[in-house]
Amino acid sequence: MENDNPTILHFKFDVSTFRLLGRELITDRITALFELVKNCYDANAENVQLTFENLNPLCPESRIIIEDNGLGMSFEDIRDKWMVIGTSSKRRNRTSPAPYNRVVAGKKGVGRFAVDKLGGKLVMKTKKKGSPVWHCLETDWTKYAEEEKHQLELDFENSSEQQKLFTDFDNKYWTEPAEVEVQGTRLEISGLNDAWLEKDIIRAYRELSKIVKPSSNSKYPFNIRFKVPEYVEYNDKTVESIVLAEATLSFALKYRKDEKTGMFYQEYLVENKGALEIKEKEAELFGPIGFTLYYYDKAGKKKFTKDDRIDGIKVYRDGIIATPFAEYKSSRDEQKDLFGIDKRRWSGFFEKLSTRDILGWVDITDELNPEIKDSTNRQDFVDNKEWNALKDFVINQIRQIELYLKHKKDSKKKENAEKLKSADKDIDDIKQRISNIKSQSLLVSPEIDSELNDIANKLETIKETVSASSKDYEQMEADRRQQENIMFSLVSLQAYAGQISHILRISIGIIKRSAEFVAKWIPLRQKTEKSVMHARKIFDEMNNLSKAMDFMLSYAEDDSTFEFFSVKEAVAELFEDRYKLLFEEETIQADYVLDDDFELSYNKKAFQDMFGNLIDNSVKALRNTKDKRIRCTVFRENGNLVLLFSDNGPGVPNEIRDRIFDVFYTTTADLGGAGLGLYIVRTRLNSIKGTISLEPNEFKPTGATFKITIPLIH
Amino acid sequence: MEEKMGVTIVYIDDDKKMKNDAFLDDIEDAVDDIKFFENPSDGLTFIKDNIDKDIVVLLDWKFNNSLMQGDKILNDINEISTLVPVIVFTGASIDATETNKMFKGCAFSCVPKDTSTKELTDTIRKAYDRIQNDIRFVMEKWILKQDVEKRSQPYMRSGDKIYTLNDILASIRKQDEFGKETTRGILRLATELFTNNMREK
Repeated sequence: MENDNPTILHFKFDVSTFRLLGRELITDRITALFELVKNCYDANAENVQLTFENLNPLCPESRIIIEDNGLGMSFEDIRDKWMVIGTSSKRRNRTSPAPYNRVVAGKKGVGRFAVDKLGGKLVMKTKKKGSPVWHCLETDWTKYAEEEKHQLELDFENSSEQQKLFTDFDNKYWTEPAEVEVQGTRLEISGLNDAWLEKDIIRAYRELSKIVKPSSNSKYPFNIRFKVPEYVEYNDKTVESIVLAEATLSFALKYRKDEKTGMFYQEYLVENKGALEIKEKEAELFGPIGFTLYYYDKAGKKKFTKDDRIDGIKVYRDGIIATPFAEYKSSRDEQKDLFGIDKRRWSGFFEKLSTRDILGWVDITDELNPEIKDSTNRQDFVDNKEWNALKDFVINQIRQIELYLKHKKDSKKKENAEKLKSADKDIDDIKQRISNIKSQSLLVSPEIDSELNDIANKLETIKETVSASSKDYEQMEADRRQQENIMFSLVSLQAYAGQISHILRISIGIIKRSAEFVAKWIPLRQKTEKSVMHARKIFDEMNNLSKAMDFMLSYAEDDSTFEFFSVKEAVAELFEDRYKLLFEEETIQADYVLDDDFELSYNKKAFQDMFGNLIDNSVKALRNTKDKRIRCTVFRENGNLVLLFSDNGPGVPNEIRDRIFDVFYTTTADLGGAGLGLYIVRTRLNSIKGTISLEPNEFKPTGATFKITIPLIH
Repeated sequence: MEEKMGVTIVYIDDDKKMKNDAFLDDIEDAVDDIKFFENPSDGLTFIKDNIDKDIVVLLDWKFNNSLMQGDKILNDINEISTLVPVIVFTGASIDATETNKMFKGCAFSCVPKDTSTKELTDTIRKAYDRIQNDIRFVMEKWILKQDVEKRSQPYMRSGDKIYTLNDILASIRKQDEFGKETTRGILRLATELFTNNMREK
């Protein structure tokens, strides 16, 4: 019955535009395959089979067949949808038909372009349930390519040959008999563009294994099966979701909606004294998300056949992976680290996790996270506030796990040290028992006695060794801490030097060009006013440089090594000694609150200078306030030392809140402000992984409150 | 005195102190206009609205507290037109990753913030020379000289598509396939004409 009713169908679009679009949208073969499989998903298919035949070397029999048992198409669908580019029905319906209600994955309707990326010729067979026939369509781009080449060679102006504006190529349509109950679509692509090597199949397999989340519900499964006779390992192989071998740690953070208020609440992880707790807070501006995170230690990683299956955190939108799609890079270094997990500073320095240690996914939905959008090149997300907030959230969650692991490691160390110490006692205990045995003289023969003496002597030797080891261990720990401190101080100096040289370079540039200006125009007796202005600027800028230099010197003079010092003492010195007179002169009521004392490993003078800066700012801010107040509160929070510093001055106007930490940003130029203070506080803090931020004012009705956090490393 | 440059300098830098930099006071008579933008978005809007003018952009690279960094702004300028020369002017130390971003964004040059007015002026002049001499700029200018009405009428056909002068302009600015092909075509044609002339002589 084949070919008994051949008809000719025409595409209703310009073929060259079609191909151009296709090439831009689908950048590589794996992405193409990915898009076609997504189409199967959208069509409610439960099973997809990918057959690769005669892949290498290419021959007329080379083909890729994609078969699914999805909804299929009617003749009208083919004529009015498949053949008409740009009127994707998918855009109108955001979910696939019930009962699957899958959120449509192939949003941009690019599946049809994908075929072109794989090969020049397509035979499609498709049918809906109830139809007695398969609808078959053959499209042959290879013919088109010849014509395209011919047309490109034509001379623009002097050609007698008529150019074709629209290319009317014949697409053969016919039907074949079928069982009524069967449904599905079969795409047979031949005229392949490239040979497929085993590594390409591996890539395809690996990328497709990411398409549906491992925990996706199985009521309406989505199975992908590979058939590759040439590569035995992938022949008759079902694509398994990324293997979740027993992870060392795993978390599933959810969200909930308060039915009364309609508010969303987000679960998040927080490390608290060696325990990881799940807490809840109002959803952030990117909207509520699900976040599943697996951490693998060395033993956990061994369960993966190849550890590169552990590759960081991905984003799934409505159950299907969002960007970066199937972008595969043979070199791991080029692989996209969406959240910047590996880019974090001091990587590997303070127990940072990398994308090779964690595997996870962020679940977003179109409905609840509308601002997390794919960028137009489909390689990333649109860089907006929401996406940045989401990145911060994810990084912070990883940080909590790092803190937890660090705590665990530290307590393990402590435990070992304890055991070593108690070994000493155990030996004494054994010795005591031996002498007990010896004292029961009836039981002890001279041979046994001598044997026991020997054991006792050996035990004594062991005891000495154990006690020496215990001391060594303690010494080693002390050395290690010392080394860490030196490294830490070096790293922080390095970062600080980098930032200071940024300031210097800008300042020097300004001075240089102003001097150049004066030298050029004064002799010409032109631009006199401006010359005077620039001469003055040289002076002002030089003053700024001196100030920057003072800050650098405070590092150099007061030796840059870190020391343990009491925060309470350091703050008391400032309030009761260094600034006492100034507070009295300015009639400022200044007090500080410290419930507990903390030991901080840092440069004490640098620490006090930071406060000096904040105090100077407050004194200036308070100049027109009546009952002047300054307060400093110190407490511990999540392994950080937190300092709240407040005054009851006029506060920081909203419009400049984001700018006050910028270099050279000042509102008190009239009082000699150079705009360096807060910038330097911030850079210094950043260099020791601390932060400074402007918080809601403690004093009412007006005031400013700064919050400083410094990690308590040891 | 050097020849006056018919360009507008668009300087985008969030450090507003740079607005009074001696360099700008020095060069003000040598160019058409100088526009300083503290906010990158305003700068981008200006470029978009004045794309028909000759513009050289001076761009800071590290922006404090801003979602938009130099590389993003550079890309956005390229989206408007690849024909606007962008000179990165930065105080930060530039490593290979950053350099790569600049190359990818086709920055015209990168000048450190402690440079002299002379060096900066020379760089701007080089950018200006490119505007004057590059075939793409010449084509852009020629199209802009044509009647507005004429620009939207069909002008040529290539393959299956008919192009107006405006289409061609957009393609040249975007440097898409057609834009590149057309530029190459014109260059070939020019060379052809040039050598024809030689033969006739």
